Amino acid sequence: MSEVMKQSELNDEPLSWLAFRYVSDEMSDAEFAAFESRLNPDSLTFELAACEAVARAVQLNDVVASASEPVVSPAAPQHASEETSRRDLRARRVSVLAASITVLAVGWALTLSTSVPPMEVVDSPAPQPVESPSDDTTGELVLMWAGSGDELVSAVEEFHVLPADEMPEFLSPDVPDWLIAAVQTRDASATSPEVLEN
Amino acid sequence: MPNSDGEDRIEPEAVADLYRQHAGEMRAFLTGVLRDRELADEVLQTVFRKTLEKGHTATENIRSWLFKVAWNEAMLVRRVQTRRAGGLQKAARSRGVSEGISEESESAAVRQETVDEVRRAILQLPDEQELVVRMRIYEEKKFAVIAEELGLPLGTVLSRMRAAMMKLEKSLGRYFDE
Repeated sequence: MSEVMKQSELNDEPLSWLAFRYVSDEMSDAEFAAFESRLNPDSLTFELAACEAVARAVQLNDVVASASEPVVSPAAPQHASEETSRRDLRARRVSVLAASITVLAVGWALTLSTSVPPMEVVDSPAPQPVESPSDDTTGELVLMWAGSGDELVSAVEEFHVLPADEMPEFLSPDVPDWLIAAVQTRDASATSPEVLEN
Repeated sequence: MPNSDGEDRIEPEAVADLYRQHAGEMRAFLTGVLRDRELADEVLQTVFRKTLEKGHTATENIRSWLFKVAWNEAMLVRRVQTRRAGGLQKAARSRGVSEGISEESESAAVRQETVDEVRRAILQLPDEQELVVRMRIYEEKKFAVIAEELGLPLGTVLSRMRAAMMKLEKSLGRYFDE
């Protein structure tokens, strides 16, 4: 950054450290007031370097925070409850699947042991027999079900890329719409005389 | 281009260039002063509107002028707030998705690269410094609380954090050097 900042670091405490304490609200009232007088352009103690240091402290804080891992102490119970509910969901899925297989198996056994009399009503369409799953198919279904659940969970766990809204914004400031509009308006007004001439 | 008062304003394209060059630093400065990212974004827009209207009156370096306008605008906003709004919260927590870095402007791969580099820089710190950084920035604990939890004098915690921040600033400086 500027050489002014380096000169200011000759003070007792480096300006960058003071700025970090300022943005972190880790200053006494007296220190806070003294530091703000260095930011105030109307003050005799104004320093451009102090303004730069504040900006830099926020940027450093943001870039470090952008790599934050799950917070250990306060978030731990929440993380644990997420794990529990994930396990509960998987257990519930397996229970529902097991119940469905039981119902299908019982139904299949009943169709084999019971002879159904021919239907007398001709108008209505004949009911289609339901195909019972073979043991192989059932096994595959169970594997698919359990497999897809695990894959989903692991995919969610592995997809640990930081969301865009948690990245430091200063890395890429976008020009605001109103400024683009101002440029376009200016361009339009600059070209309009030519249009009129033609 | 002369305005209705016959003054030569800064061309909008030039203001757009200034925005590209300085908006990041001004936003960070305003965030540090206001401790509110959304408010900082609002004030940032005001600063560059003023640049469009009054930038041509600047008698000094335009960057210095921008800092002054930013400070004055921030103070106007702060007058209706409490004087001290607490510390800076963890990056981007309160920011809307649309205001963050878009997918177009930075790919997930580049973001991941940044995150990896920051993590490497943190891991290179001595353990005792790394712990203080994590507790302060990730867990958002005050230094007094950290000192109490670690059973250390406050001064020790402060000096560890200070040493860590100096190292991180050096190793990660490229992310915010002009």
